[in-house]
Amino acid sequence: MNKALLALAFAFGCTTTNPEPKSTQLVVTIGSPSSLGDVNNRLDGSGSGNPVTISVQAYDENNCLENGSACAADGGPAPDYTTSLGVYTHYLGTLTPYLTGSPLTTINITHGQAMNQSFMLPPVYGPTTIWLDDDSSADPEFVAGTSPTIWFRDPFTADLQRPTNPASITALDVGPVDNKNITVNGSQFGSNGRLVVTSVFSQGFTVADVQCQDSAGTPPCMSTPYGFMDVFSYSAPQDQELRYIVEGEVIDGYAGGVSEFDGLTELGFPQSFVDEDTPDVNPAREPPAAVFDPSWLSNPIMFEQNESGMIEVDNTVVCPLDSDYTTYNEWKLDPSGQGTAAICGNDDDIIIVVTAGTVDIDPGMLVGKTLSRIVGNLRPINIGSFNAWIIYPRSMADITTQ
Amino acid sequence: MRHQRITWVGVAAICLATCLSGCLIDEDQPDLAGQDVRLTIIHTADIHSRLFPYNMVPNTFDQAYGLLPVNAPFGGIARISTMVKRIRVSSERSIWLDSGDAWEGAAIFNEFKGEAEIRALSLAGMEGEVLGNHEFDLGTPQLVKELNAWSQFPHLVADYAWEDPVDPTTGMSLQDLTTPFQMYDVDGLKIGVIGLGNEDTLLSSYMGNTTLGFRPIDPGTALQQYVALIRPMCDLVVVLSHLGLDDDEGLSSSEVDDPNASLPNQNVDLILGGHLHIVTNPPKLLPADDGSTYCQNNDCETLLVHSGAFAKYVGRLDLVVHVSDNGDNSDPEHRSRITSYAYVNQPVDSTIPDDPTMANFMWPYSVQLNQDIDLNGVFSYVDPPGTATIDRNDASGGDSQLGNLVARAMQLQQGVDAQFAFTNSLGIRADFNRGPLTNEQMFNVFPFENTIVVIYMSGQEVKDTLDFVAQESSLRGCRSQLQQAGITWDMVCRDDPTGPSPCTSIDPGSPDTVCHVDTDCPSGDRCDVTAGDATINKCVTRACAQNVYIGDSCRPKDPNTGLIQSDSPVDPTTTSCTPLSLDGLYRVAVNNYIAAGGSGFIVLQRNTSQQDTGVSLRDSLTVFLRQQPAMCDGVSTSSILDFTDTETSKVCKATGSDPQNGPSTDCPSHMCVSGMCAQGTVQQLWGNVSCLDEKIEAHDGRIRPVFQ
Repeated sequence: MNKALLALAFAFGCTTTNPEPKSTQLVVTIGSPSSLGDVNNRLDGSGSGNPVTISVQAYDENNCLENGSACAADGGPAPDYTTSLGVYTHYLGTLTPYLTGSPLTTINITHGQAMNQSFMLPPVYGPTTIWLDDDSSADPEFVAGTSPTIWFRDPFTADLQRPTNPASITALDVGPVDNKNITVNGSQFGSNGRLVVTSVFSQGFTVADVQCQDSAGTPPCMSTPYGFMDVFSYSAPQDQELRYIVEGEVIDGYAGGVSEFDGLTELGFPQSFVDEDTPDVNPAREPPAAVFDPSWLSNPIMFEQNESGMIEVDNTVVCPLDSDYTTYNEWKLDPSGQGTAAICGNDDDIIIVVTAGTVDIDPGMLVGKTLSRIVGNLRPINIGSFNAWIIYPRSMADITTQ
Repeated sequence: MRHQRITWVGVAAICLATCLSGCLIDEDQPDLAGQDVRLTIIHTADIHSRLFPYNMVPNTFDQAYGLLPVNAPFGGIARISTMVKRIRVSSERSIWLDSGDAWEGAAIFNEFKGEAEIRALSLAGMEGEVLGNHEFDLGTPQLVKELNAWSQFPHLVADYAWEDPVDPTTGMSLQDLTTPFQMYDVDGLKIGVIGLGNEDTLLSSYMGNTTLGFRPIDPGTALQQYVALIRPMCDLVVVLSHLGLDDDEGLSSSEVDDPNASLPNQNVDLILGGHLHIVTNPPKLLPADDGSTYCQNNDCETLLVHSGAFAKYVGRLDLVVHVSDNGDNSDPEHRSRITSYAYVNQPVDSTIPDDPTMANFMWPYSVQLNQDIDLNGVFSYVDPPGTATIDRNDASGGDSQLGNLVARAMQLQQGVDAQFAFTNSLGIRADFNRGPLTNEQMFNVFPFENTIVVIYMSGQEVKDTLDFVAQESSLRGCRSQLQQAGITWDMVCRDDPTGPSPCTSIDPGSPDTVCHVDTDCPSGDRCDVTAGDATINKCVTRACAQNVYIGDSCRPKDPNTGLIQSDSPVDPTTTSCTPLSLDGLYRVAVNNYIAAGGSGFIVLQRNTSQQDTGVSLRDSLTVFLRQQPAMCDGVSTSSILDFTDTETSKVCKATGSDPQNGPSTDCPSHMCVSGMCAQGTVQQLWGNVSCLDEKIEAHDGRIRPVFQ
């Protein structure tokens, strides 16, 4: 009786049999570079281009090459997989380019095979894979495959800051690894190098990659261009064990997402690593501030080289306070020492200072006076052709009046 | 005969059951062993009732993510539905998961109490949601009622032990309507999803005037238990979290000292988070070394993704998953793993067409909402210079203009007439954008039905409250967690122990801690050794309230501009304000959320003098704003031209008796003149409304952040 009922139910046409689902797998092998490196032996991928050669083969669920020929496993023909595949690379936590962008290149796979396909990867850091995808092909089967990992070295601080082309008009507001998720594990200077915290503010800190006198980290320690980073933690910065980070501290590394916040390269949602039980704090390791030269104003790449570093401005006159002070707590310096309205009103000719929250000083009392020395952390705004060079003194010790 | 009748009934039943169940499908599950498989995860979070498009000014981050002012208005479930359908078409395997707080945040929630959200998300095809704290805003009975009546997707939470009573009308409790985890088979790829809610829910539940209905379980413990249970059966283990970013990261091995500790995230492939309304693009990577040989040779990490809030974005995460060669997902050497991924948060804006099915579904809600609440009613015009807004957060981290307005409205509310007023910053959820201020915007800015409570506080209680605010704010970038009127103080976020006025408050988190050196104290504290006796030295906080004065405009004014110098200390010799007296008694207006101890305001909770006025903050502010003059910087609204858009010359029909001339819904920012949209004055468009510029209750340093 039950069988009769089921047969009746089937007769209503309510049962369907779907075609066998697709289960094409793409197997990607790397022919070049011959050595893929490993966790402890990294390749250098920071150059202008990294040639690779890969081979791709498509197999069906019986592990038969999808070339349309008979498959030994079931005697039937394997599918004939012939299509185009987009090539992408995944490194530092994101796909390059994103899937909706034009792929790095396109590979035509014919009868299940595309052998010895060569192309260039962009400058890459960290563990890197090559992602093949037919999603954007004319007749997508939604097949994807990834290569074995190629182990490139992790980036250093300067790799995050140095523009791809310093002469480009976007050099100030486009970074080489924007929107990537980076981990910096140490100094570019090896055993003599240190990552030293140069300022701590309410929502983050800045760090400099410095070269000290020896492997013990003996000061003085010197920085090089682009060797600074702004780590924006939103709240008071802490290390992985929730200890507050302090100025002069050596950190072992940091990680997070790189972004350009109105031209300021910063690390968002960061993690900061300090392995030592007792953090190593020695403000003497902080590199000397770069001394501002008025020529920087007409050669702004000099600011970019010192972005998030400490800069020193000497013998400058405090401009009259304007609406930017009431709105943004910003007061202004005329490095030419004149303090005229014409100069003070032109953002291209001045240095802006923000002391609110860090230095208990009334800039209104300083208007028209000369500051013989002021030091601050450089956190500029660069939006297109608009540039504002803003420094943030850390304490009253950073300001010397005449 | 009887047997035959039963047979035909049986036949009918089988046919009915067969057809109702969507017919029998004989489908082979693909064998994915050893393959790289693409999976698309659609992720939303903190939708906060933004089921209809709304206007806002995208900030720098929003614009960097592609949310451009020109594409306003933003959000809307009909657009999200379109985006979800598009993504599903472009991906063979997809699943839509939400990280909670779909409720609360717009007038539709106040009107329909969660029904519209649950029905719309069910219709749109959501496949799983963790319960957020705001799902409990109207109490567990209301949540039970709506889930039971309308929900067609699983509601996940593994870290609550339910104790809510069975609802007598439905016969259901949350235990019946939720599940700690859910298993999904997405075309052969097996995904286990575990929900983790946060402890803020406790406060929300309390605010719903209900019993709590559950006990929280340590999320790490709960996660570990369920990961152990489902890992062997799943290619992917996903945590759907409403814990917030810090707690999400707290599940990570980077947050513990002992590398040998058994860590719950070691076997978690992906965390989809919410609660803090942030976007993590690129996704975060949390260390997840499980000690296997595989992890020695590879970077084993857990992906962490947050996809924003207020229906501004739909997150799309494309994964390539290498499926286990031998199907043994309990073996870390051979289990399935994510090998690559790509993430984008796609803006929900006017470039996305409505899904007509969803738009039709939402239409009756829209009609009734407009009948019951004059959503488009305008009572003020916001007119700060340029593109500025009236902000809920000031750049200084201290008092904000919008916070000052709210607190002032509370202080001066008829019948309240307090000496000063306090309200929590997070109760204000959006800024006032330039342009007409509507009733709908008031619901977006003040979604909570909070009321004004009058309370009598001693000076010591005031000091304790402000100390607490300073300590909480110091942990949040020295951004004030309080807004206020009628009182002025210095919010010391980090003191100078060697300076003339270090903080002296004993940390309430370690009141009995006896210390020798700073490292004996909780992080951020210092050991106060002034007692000179190591047996009685105490840990003290480095954040506190100092220089508290009662009154307004306490700080000195610039002799040239007459503007208050918000960064200057109060000069006790010239100020008209009076110092706080610890022995004094003060009449204070607070909101009922913090009065009940919400957000940690325990000092207020202990006070027994509370009188709830029943006047909502939203209504109080509306009245206060209506009372402001129809002048901005000396210019009457009758002469302010509206340049907010360029809809001129559009054909229109006026809404008044004259169909050719007057206000029109065809061009809401313009006048209809001879059947064509044309620019008009604020007065012509909206009548004699008040005008709010940058000067009214401007930031004046009533809360002054200080680092000594």
